[in-house]
Amino acid sequence: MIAIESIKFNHNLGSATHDAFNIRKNAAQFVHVPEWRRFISVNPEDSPAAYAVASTHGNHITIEVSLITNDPGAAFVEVRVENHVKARAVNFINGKTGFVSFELIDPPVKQGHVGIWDIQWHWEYRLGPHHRWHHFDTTRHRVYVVLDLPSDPWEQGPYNASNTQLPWTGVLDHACRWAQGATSRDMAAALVTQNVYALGPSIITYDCPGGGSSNYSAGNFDCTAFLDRLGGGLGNGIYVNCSDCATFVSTFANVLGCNLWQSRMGYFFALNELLAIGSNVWQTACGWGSFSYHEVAWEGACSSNEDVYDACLRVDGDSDPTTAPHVPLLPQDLRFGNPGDLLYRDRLATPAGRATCNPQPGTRQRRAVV
Amino acid sequence: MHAEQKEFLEEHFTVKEWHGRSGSGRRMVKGFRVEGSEIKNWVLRRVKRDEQAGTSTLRSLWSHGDSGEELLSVDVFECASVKAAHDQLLEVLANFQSPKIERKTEKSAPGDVAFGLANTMILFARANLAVSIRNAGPRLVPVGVVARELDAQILRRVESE
Repeated sequence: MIAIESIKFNHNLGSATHDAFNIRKNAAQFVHVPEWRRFISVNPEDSPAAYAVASTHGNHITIEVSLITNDPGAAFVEVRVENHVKARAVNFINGKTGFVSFELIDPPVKQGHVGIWDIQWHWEYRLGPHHRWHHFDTTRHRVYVVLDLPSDPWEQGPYNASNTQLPWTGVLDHACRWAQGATSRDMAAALVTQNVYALGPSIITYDCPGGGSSNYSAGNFDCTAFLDRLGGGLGNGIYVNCSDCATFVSTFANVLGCNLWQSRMGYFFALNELLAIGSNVWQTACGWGSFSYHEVAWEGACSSNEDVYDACLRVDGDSDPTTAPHVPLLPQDLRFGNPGDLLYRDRLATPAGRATCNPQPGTRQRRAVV
Repeated sequence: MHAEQKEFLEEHFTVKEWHGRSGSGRRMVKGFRVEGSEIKNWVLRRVKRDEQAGTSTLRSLWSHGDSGEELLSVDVFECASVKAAHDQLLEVLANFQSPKIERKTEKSAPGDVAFGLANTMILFARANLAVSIRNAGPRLVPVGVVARELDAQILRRVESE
C-alpha cells in the first residue's frame, strides 16, 4: 500500500513566488503546515492554500509531498495526479519518502483572476514508464487565488500562531466569492463594494436609531463579529455606519491584493438625498440633513484626486444630484473631485455643503483585525 | 481623533460646559465588570474586554425575548480619571455621523453628562466611566430606562469606593 502522508502548499514561509502564501483561519485558529495531513484533513476547508497572481507570475508552482508505504519491496515508483500534479519518481527509504517537491500543472492561480476552488486530487502511481497507473489515494483542498499579496492590515510575517494579522481564510471565503473573476485591483474593489452594499437590509442596515455610530470599527475592526454576522449569527448587531462599511470594503479588498485605506471627509456638511445601505427611501441619511463626518474606502493619498469606494450609500448618478428624479449610483472607483466636477463630492454634498465636505487625509488608516 | 474634527466637536457639543466636572468629585470606579445581572430581563449574550492606552473597554451584547430581534449593545469604558472619561465620551461622539445627537439636560438624564438621539441611543459619563447604550436589533427598544438602571448601579459603586 502507498499513501500520502502529508502535503505542504506553503512550503517556503519566507516567500510566495513558487508556493502558497502565509494564512490563518481566523483570530483564534492558525493554519499549520503541512496543510493536508493523513487522517486529519477530510474536507477541502481542512486543507486551505492561498496564492497570489502577481507574486507567482511566470513561475512554476510547487508543492511538497510526503508519501509512505508498507510494502517492503517498494523502492522507486512514479507518482502523479493526472492533469494536476506532474509525474515524478520518488524513492522510499524505510517506507517513507520524506518531503518531495512536485510541480503543479495549470494550477488555478495561472488563470489570473480572483477565485476559490475546492479541488479533489486522485493520486496515482506506477512502477515504471511502461507500467499502468494505479489509483492509491484521494486528497481534497480549498484553493484561494488573489491578485497580489494582501496589503495592510494583513501581514505576511512574523509567521506564527500569535500573529492575528496573517490573512484569514474566514475573510478569503467571502472576499474571493464576492470578487470572483476579477482581474484587476479596481475590479476586485468594486465587486467587494457591490457585495457589501448588497448585504442590506437583511444582514446589515444603516444605523439610523443609533445616530450612525460605528458598531464594528470603533478602534480596531471587529472582523470576528462581522464574520459571525455574515454566517447568520448576531455579530455586533444589524446596524452599521460609514466607518464600518469603509472598513469592510478596504479590509476585504486588501486581502485580495488591493491597496485601499479608510479615510474621512468633513466636517458637518449638508447632504443631497441618498440611499443608505439597507434603505430604499431617497432621503438625506435618516432625514438628518447632514453628516458630521463621512468615511469611505479610498485609494492612495485619500485626496480629492483619488478614487473612493463607498458601500454605505448610493448617490444620485444623474446630471443633477441635488434634485429628483434620482438615478442610483453606488460609488466605486469614483474620483472624489472638487466642487463643480460632478464627481463623488458633488453627488454626496449639496452645493452649500461641498465647501466643508473636504478630504481629511490625516485620518487615513487601516484598522487592525480582531 | 483628528484635530480638526475635535475642534468641530468641542464647539458643537459645548465641551467647555461639562468637561472635567463630576458630581462624584474625585471618587472613581475600579475593576468594573459586566456579569449578566446588570440589566433586568435582558440576557447577556457576549462580553469582550479590551485594554488600550489606560482605558479598559467592556463591549457587551444583550438580548430580550427569543426572537433575537431585540438587541442592545452596551459599551463601558473605564478610564483613569473623570477628564479621561470625558475625553473618551468625545472620542465616541466622533464616531457618530448624525449631527442630531444632543446633550440631555433633563433631570432624569443619567450620568454627570449625557447625550442621546430620541430614545434609541444614549451615551453618558459617570465619574471615570463612559457608557454607550445602542439598539443593535431590528426591533427598537427605548434605552432611557436601561441607562438609568445602569447608572444607578454605577452610582452605588462610586459611593461605596
